[in-house]
Amino acid sequence: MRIFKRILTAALFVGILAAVSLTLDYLMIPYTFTRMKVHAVENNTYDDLILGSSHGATNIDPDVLGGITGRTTYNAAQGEEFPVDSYYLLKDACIANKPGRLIYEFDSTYWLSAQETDSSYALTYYSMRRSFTKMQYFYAKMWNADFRTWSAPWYFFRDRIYDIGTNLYVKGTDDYKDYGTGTFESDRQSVTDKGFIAIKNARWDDAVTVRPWTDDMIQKSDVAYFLRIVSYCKENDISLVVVTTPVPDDTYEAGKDNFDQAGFYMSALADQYGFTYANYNNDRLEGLDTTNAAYADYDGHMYEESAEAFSRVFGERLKTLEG
Amino acid sequence: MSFVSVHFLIFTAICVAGYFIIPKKWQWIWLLLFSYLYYMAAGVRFLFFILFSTVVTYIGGLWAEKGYRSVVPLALVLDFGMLAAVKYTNFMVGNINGLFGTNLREFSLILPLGISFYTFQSAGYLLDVLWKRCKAERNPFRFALFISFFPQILQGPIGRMSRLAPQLYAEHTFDIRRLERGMLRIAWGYFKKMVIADNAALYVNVIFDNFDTMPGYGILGVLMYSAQLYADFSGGIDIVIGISDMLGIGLDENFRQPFFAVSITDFWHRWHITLGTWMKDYVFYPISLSGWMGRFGKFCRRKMNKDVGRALPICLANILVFLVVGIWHGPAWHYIVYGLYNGAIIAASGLLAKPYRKAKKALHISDGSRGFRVFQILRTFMLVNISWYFDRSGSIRQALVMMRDSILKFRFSSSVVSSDSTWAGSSAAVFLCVIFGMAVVFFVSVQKERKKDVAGAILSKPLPVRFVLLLALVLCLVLLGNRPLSVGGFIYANF
Amino acid sequence: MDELIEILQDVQPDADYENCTTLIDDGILDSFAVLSIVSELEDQYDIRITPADIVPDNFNSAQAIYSMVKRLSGEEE
Repeated sequence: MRIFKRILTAALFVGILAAVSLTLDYLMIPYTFTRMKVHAVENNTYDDLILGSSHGATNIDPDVLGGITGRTTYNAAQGEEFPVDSYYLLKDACIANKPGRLIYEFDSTYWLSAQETDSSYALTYYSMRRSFTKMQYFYAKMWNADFRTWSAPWYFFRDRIYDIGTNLYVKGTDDYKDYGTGTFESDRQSVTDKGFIAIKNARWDDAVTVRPWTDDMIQKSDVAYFLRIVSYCKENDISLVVVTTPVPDDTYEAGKDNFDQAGFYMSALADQYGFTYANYNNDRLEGLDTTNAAYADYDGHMYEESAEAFSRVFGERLKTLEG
Repeated sequence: MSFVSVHFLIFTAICVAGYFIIPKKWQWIWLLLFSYLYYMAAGVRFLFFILFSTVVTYIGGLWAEKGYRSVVPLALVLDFGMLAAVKYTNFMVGNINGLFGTNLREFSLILPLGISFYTFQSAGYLLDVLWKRCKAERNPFRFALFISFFPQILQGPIGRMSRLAPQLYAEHTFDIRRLERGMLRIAWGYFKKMVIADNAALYVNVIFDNFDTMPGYGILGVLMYSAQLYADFSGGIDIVIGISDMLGIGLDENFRQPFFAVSITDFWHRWHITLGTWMKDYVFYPISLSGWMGRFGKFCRRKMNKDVGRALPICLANILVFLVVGIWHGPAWHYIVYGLYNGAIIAASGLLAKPYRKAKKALHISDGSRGFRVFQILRTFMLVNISWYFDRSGSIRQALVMMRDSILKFRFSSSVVSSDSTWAGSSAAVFLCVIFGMAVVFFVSVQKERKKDVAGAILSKPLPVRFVLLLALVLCLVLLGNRPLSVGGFIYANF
Repeated sequence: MDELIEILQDVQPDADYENCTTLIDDGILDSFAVLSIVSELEDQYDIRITPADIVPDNFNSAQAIYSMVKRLSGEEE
């Protein structure tokens, strides 16, 4: 009986701990693109689903693509989305809403370094609904990670204690409850209900940094998950298009060899596994403005207008693929 | 399987829960199973090394007991030969290349998990059997558990057959008090690791890696290294001992408030204790009592002043021991200097013990006086910190340059760490986290030094108090701990 | 026995050898002292002490050291 009481006490403690942690989650974790995007792919069926990094999110406008191809399109690409995240997000979407085509935006820099355990590491996992896929995702990402990543995701936002008021306000709004886009509206950017992040006039000052692409720097796990995406698409009859969006001219010149090598690597995979690869770094198009003025930074995030121009070019390419 | 991973927590929880559910006579088999699962999680290819050690030592022990004494040196050579082969091949190759201008290839070997610790444990067992301090274990599987017991295999403490084995094989009944005690110890270990070591590491890495471009921060760097190394290693050991405690297995303590040591000798009685006693029992005494050392001793006593003659052989043996400690820390000259530095200080204090005692008498200083004790503690702390320069630097040159710059270009600032990698984007916050953590550790250490049972006192408090304390401890991990830069890194796990 | 106490006093003066039974356990004799004692004993009583003899039980009290010496010299006869 005494042991039973003690176990009960222990359970009570764990309960209190969990309650404190969940409360802090609510207070500290802001409303993110991730929450909105994961909810969208879990609840709507799209003909074309875009996954990938922040370049995909800011450079490809699904409304423009859809206007050209006539297909419903959603952009679920987001910053710090690694192949492992893309893979499980795709599987999560396919539970109820299998897309007809996957457009995977390939940013070579992601494949060169292991994922940092930062605020983006766990967000996709936390935004997902409960499912067997989520358990697999848990095993893939959380199993070997620091236990705080899994048990206390608010931990990544602990330095934003001043945002609690804003978070509380946002979480009371209908926009939050409806997974809306209004919260993200600012004079720097807006987000469309198709997941496109339109950068208005913000300029992020950064220097041109190009990571050298060498074959021994490629992260094995990134390749492995990308290949799982490839075979998953094949098994489920989802056609796959991989795209690399163009970086600014100066950046490209600074790291031409590396961009070309990365492109070459992906082209080889495309040939081997039979998917389409559209590399707009190799293939710098006439009539498309890729000077620095078209971008919000050297890294390659486009302004809204440039993104729309690029999306038209890319849309036409997609259209020819269907024929 | 890193101690901080979700994986490890679940693994440990299943191990502990299962241990008390299954029939008691299977408990040791359960431990063996989990120990090998743990080991294999690090890499199946490492199995070879631990199996080799286990088999060699098992057979060596049996034969030694039967009277084939010469099998012991052979088994020791095999055990240490394997350790040396994986640990020192590249060092030798590098030095040969340097000396003779050859271009021999270095091997890419990752050190098998825990190899140092199970090799030491194996060697101790062989000598214990030889000296009839314990009986040889006949059951090979039980013996395999003694070598591989999972919490301790990563970074010790190094166990002794006579104390550890009976506990491993014994049947244990569930004891909620031990469980609570163990959990508290584990949380305390994580506190040290995450709040102190991981934050201090930011300073240590920046200062030691950029000693030439931003000189003068040596003192800050080395103090932070004191905090990091102690918190990392003793925190890891707290987790190991806490887990074993939950299973009802009491391991030897590895740390006893080392920074309250009054001499370097005392420091080594308080720091990495199981290594110190291992070195003492299996290296220091055998060397000191060996035939040639005996002859050397007689020679010294005949030729010299009686006290010096008596102390000199002991000093020599002691320096040899610390040479071994240095070499064990890593195949590099700066580690060897680190070892010899410690050995030389202890040897000198041994030689000077008598004059020192006389001087104290003449100056009317009593060992018991508070002021003198504080002086001794500060002096030892300083000497230890000097040794860290050699331990943490990448080369002897770096250590010497940093020491020089520490004085000549002295600088001290909390903002040397890049604020990108810190919490709240503030390096001052990281600094304060380390200070706060160390203050808590200091407070607890003072209590322990006064022989107070801190854990016992906490666990006997009323429930709400315990709740709040434990909650605060756990929240500190999240709130004040540095974010995991790379999962896994316990310093001594690489030895 | 008195001779033994004298040796002990010479090596480490600040201890109560008549009554203390925890010379090793309480760290009154460190390894340095133990070895100094051993070398004195070897010279004085013409005995051979091996690593196997260096266990706390043999050094925790003056009495224990005394019996060890007697045992070892007895074996040699």
